[in-house]
Amino acid sequence: MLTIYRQGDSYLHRIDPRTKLLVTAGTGILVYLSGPLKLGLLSVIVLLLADVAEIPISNLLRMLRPMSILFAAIFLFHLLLTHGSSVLAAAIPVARFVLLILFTTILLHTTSQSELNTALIYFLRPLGVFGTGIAFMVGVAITFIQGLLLDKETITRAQAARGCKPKGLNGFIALIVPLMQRSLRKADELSDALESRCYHRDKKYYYYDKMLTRKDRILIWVFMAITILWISV
Amino acid sequence: MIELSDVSFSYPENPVLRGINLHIRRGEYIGVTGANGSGKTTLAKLLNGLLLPDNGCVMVNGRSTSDRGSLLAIRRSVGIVFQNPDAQAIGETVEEDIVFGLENIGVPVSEIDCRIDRCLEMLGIKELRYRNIRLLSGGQKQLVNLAAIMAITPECIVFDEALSMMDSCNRKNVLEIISGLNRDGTTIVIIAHNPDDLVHCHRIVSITEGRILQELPEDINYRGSDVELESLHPITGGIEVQVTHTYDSGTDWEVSALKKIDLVIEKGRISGIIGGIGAGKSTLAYLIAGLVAPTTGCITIDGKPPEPGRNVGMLFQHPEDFFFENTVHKEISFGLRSMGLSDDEVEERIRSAMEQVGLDRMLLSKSPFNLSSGEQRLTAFACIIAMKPGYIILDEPTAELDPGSRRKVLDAIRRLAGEVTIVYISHRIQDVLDISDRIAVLEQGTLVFSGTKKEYLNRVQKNAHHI
Repeated sequence: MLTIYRQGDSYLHRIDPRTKLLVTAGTGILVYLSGPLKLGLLSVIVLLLADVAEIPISNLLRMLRPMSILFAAIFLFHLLLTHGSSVLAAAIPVARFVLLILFTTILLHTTSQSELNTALIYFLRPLGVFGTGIAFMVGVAITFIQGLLLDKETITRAQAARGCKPKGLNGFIALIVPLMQRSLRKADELSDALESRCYHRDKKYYYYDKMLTRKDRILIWVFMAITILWISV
Repeated sequence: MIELSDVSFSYPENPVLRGINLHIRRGEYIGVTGANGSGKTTLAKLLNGLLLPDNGCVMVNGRSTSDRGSLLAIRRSVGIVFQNPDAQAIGETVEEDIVFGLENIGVPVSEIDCRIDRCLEMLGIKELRYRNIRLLSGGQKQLVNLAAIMAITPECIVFDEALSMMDSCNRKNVLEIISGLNRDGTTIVIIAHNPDDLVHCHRIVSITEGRILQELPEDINYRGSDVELESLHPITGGIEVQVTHTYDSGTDWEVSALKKIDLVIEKGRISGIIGGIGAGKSTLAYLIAGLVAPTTGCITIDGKPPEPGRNVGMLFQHPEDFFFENTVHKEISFGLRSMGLSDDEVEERIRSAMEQVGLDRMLLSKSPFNLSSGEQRLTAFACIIAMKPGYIILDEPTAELDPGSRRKVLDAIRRLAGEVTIVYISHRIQDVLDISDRIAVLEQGTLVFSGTKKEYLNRVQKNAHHI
């Protein structure tokens, strides 16, 4: 399930979502520019951040589990198909993927959907109503996908109770037809719910939209300095 | 406050409402009833401009819903709580969900906090404020949806079968809250099949063949015992076999759904399982049906582990959502063919299943998507019966059906009694008492009673005397 936000009062929870979004995006760039040693350092940092945010390691592992086949495929692809590759060289792209997922997990663990939405709207504000529209759609899509995953689980169980094995074309049709039908109906119902709660395109998002504090501005400057150092060393 | 004048509405090739005239006065508490597909939800959506009439007009506080410029003001005045609790969640947490509407109408930040607290407190769910909506039970989600609409403080709230997913106890509380809102001046329109939901109405209208018929509250066959029985649950009960189940064990979002359940379901009988919101009824159903493995303990059916589709079948809530074939015949035969039965055997089982649920064989060539709600529910039931599983679990089999369809489903279950063992799960206690030989009561994941119907009623009476 995608839903991972957990209410808390850690230092990371208290940082402004815009700062967290910027720093996470910046960290993504660092991950791609780092070699084995720096990746090791980033791994230590991610564990420290998880500790600060009071996120159990089991939660982090849970986010990685569904991707394990992809990791294995990337590793084998690099090991077998890249000329002159070694085990270490093949492990580097996997480590990058893992770190990206873990940093994003920490962001999503400490930032609620509305906070993320507010941050996204802040960055897309120069695009006007179009920008806030996009940010809102991203938020609604995330909510909708979560519901879709739950629906898939329910439908699989319901069809299993009718003796359906989730295999082959029949199994696929038995899943996809009810899933499509439910999704279309839910999309309709969601739009009714949105409109019934007075949604309009000129909406101002402000409940989670706080002023950037001095602490946040310092953090952004420190991060930028570290980034420059990181790249130049 | 709301005036419908000669309103007609049609979906493509399907006229729903014809020449409706209805005046809803400010501060009124009005009930709307009618069979499945009679146009009740369409009527609700017309009230705040989610749908616009083909003919006639809908006026809210003197503004026409056809005037696009007035729509926001109309939706600010008329809020709707819909039937499906899953499809209305907009935020990730309960707080975010409520904030969404308040931001839309421009409530100041300082007041948003007060409104959230007030609404959640009124509904008795203050502790859910920071919880993830998707991890709540259906009934809890519906309370959150209600809180989100209440927070907007509309002049009129429309409940479109919104109480159908709630157990009697919560339903009673919510009905009290709705009455309180009405006393404070909020206009209430409540759409329901269940007569218990209409007890506080000043007047009730029923929709038949797309037209409105006026009724008096006295015409509704009110059955109060359902509500009273729920509030008097027996307190204790014995435990024989232990099964526990925890969702997402070992993670932050771990939920202990069932704690030390001990339950014996006798063969050949109809056993009822009742319980409130989040009691663990559906989880227990999944475990018995072999669709989810228990965290600890085990479940055996005739000494063997449950095999879904073999020794046990389960009819899910809203089973018509899982149809995927283009004829009823194919839908029923799907499970049978996966069992590897011969064509003759498949045909024989389909014929027998249709007979047992009381459906006409003429329907076999029809699309299951084009049947009435009652026929769809019976078709889904036939899909399970045809597999002859020996044990059938029914999770809220009559939910959201009109009284006529509900009776047909209950009759079909009665016809099966003796041939198969049925576990009937519902929050409608009267249905469970009508049909079951034995009763089990779950409360917050714990089995608090298991015994015969007579024992259950004796305990209820005893508790009533103590009170």
